[in-house]
Amino acid sequence: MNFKTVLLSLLLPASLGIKAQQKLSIENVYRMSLRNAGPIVTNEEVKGYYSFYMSDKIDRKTNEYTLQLVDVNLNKLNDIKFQDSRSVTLLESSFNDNSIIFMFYNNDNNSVDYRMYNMEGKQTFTYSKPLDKRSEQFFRQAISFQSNEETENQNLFDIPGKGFITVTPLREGRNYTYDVTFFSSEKRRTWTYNPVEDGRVAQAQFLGASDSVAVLEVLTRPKLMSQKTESSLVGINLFNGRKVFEVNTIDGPQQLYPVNITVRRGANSFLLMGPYYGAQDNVVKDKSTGIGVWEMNNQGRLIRSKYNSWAQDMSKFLSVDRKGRVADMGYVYFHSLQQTADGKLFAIGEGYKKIADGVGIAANILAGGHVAGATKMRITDMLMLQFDGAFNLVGADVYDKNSNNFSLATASDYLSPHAMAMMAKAMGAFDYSFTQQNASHTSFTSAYTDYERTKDYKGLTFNTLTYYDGKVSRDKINLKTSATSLAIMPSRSGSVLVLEYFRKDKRLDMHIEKIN
Amino acid sequence: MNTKLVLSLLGLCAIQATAQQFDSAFQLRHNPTTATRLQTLVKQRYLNDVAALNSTNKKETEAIYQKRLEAIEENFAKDQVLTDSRAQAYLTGMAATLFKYNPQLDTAGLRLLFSRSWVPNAASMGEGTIFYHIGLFTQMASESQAAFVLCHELAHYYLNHSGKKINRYIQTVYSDAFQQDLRRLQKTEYGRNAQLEKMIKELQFSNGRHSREFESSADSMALELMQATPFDTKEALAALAVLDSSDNVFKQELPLQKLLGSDAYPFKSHWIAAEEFGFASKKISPKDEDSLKTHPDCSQRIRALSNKAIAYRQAGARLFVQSADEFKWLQGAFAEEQVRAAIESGQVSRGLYLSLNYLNADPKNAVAAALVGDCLNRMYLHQKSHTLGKYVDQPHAGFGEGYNQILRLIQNLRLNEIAALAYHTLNRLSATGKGNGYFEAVLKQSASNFSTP
Repeated sequence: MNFKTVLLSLLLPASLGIKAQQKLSIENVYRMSLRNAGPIVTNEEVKGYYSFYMSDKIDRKTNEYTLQLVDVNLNKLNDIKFQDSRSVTLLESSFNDNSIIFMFYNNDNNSVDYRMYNMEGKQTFTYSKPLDKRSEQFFRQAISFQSNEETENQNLFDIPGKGFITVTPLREGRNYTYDVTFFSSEKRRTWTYNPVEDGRVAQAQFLGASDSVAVLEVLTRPKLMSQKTESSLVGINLFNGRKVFEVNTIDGPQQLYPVNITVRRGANSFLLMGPYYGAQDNVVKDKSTGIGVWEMNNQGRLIRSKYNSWAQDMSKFLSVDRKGRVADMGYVYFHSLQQTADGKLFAIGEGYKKIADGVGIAANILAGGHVAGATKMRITDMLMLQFDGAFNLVGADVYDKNSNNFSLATASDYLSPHAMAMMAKAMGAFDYSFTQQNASHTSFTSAYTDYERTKDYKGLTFNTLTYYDGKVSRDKINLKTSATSLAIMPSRSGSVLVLEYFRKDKRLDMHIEKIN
Repeated sequence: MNTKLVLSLLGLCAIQATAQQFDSAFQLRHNPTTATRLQTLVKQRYLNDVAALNSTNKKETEAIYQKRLEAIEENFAKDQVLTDSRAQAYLTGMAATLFKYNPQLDTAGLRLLFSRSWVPNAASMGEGTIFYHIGLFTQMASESQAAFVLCHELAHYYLNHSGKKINRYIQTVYSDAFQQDLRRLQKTEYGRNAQLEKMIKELQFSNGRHSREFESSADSMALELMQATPFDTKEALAALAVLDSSDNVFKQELPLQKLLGSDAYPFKSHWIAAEEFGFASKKISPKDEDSLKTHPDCSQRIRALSNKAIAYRQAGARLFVQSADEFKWLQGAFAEEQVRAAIESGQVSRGLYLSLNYLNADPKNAVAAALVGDCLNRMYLHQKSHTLGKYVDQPHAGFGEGYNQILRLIQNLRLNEIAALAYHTLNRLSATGKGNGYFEAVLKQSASNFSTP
């Protein structure tokens, strides 16, 4: 019985014969509220889960919080309790093989606070980064806007064994730039890299890190609405935060726009992959020429490159039109790059098209100006490309799913398809969920959601593409259930965590299911 | 309903039909009439107990009695109560020896039953029902050891420990002082949960202490009950030693390379590879751990009973009062029955471990081979319909390494590998299973799974 009911019964007259006080149980009085929950991820591999509770009120300004950690088999590991301001919000978490970090937004202090714990659950380091006019916008937006990709952080990334890195977009007026901050998990040390601001609009995406260098893709253009975009790679020394290299991604007649990185196992290099254009092309208007793969060393030197064009290489496997669009798919955004132990490379992508937004166009006409986006995205099918050890394309398969539309902001009308896709990814527009590889790198599973409308079933589905034993297989879990609600979270490689909530019974069933 | 789901359900129905159709393949029988009669007696006892309650905290006590009834009825609903007449006769015979030499005991209202559970335990429910798990009986080395366990549970009943626990709980939680504390905390805004957690901890420590006292007094009374009988009281110490190591059965690593697969489809070691998280489990302090225990350490219990167990030993004390052969036969039948029960109650991972353990102990046993295949077939069908997670455990540091190995195997096997492993294993054992209808049905199902794309 809750407090309000008790109070009401006390106010009722005794002549009604109602008992003045009902008996209480500890369960009735104990209160905890769940604020956030999610997977603990390193290198796209789920290692466990956290739940973040407000577990007690200490005083008017302070709460006690509990971070409950369970392993990937849902066995409880630890409860980490700490006290902090009432107005903290957990944003992201990450794990880097020896430490786990939680990133909080503190509304009272207008800061982002990082709490780091070691393998015994003991707090090791805390870092705090005050926000200013340039950085606070991103974090305020992050609180109200969540990506649906459970294993992909937006701002916080692990550097195995060393620490964590954040890439924060900064904006002040018409100035758009970024900074990169590193937090060590080995000792109390942090550095921040601020690029030289030359007035250009700069947008950075963390691609990944080798053992000594963090690599970003930086897209720059003269002004916000400019259509001339340049791509460069920036390498930052993990130990001192100094720039190691900044190279544009022009390689002779080609310019690469990398979206994915993977460290080359057993070598002191990393692989980059993304669409490539002609060096002089206008990426806003012109089609991409194909998909490029680069191998670079930690000094930013290009070791080798390979370009697979739509017109010649891809068209052997897929139907490709003159604008570089895979038939019915449109453009392709690559979510993940996977190296497997058998020397193959896989790129998992998802198609999208730019289509006219009738509502936006009508709004612009009525307003007599550009007040709404005139284009929107249509998300189409999944695509998996397979490359051999020399990066030659050896296979390509399209996995069809139902299309869905997504509206972007006004500025998207001026973006290249590539930049539009990056924005859409940040906003959770794609159906792609996650990719996980097993520890021995012999298998990986990519997952995405779809909505099915067949005579047998109508509703959401959870779909997977699994590479195992040299073959790719598909599987599907129907998400319709007798439960009040159902959610699927990533689990260990080859499995997912299914959560079913039964409101009437106040019961949450969790079980781990294997993908076939 | 889609085609895939229909096929999965048909497959599962086929498995269940197979198990029922081949009931005669098993050594023990289920008697529905006996089960119904027992359920009626349990319900009647509950109604009598409720009617006898006085008005103080009647509603709260009745709620606890209701929960107890539901717990007992769940055993019947899940077919966990063993109603085989031969097994029951043995249990009744063991009890008859105890009662013959303890005529002061009132036996009216007692229901001594075997439970089909693999869990090495026995439980006195407090209202006259005592469940003796076959998982514990299989680990006893003599009837005297088994009798000590029965005496211990009877002692709980005669000393009314369950009733005392309920009364203490009611009198604590629903006392004016406790309710006042809860009301005060309900109005407290700051530090409420910290104070509640302190109350909970105190309650748990108190319960733990009282539970341990009850266990000690049940041990002591058990020896008193055994003293006058022909049973060997010294076996009480051996029974406690068995209890101390009773979960070792799941620690034993099984020779999976030998038990599963065949030359044509060998067992792969990466199927049982482990992956570590790296985060350490928070350890409870040894002091807290001891305080929360409901039972004293077995070594402590043995020390407490040692002198009396030896002193009470009669000349001519016997390890077996009833037939030793019957005891051994029963243990063999129980080894099979607990696997069957685990599978039927949906504990597929437990069933797989127990069936492999059974097969390992008796490699020429057709039913053991069939049970292994039955588990693998069920795994296949559940995984195909993405429901396997509801029927298997996940690896846990608290499980024995042998069981964790099986759990990792289940985690790592892909769907087509389960089908292949089942088929090739059963094919290899086909000489063992030849002529056994249950085995042949399971083999046929595995062939069907294996050939399905």
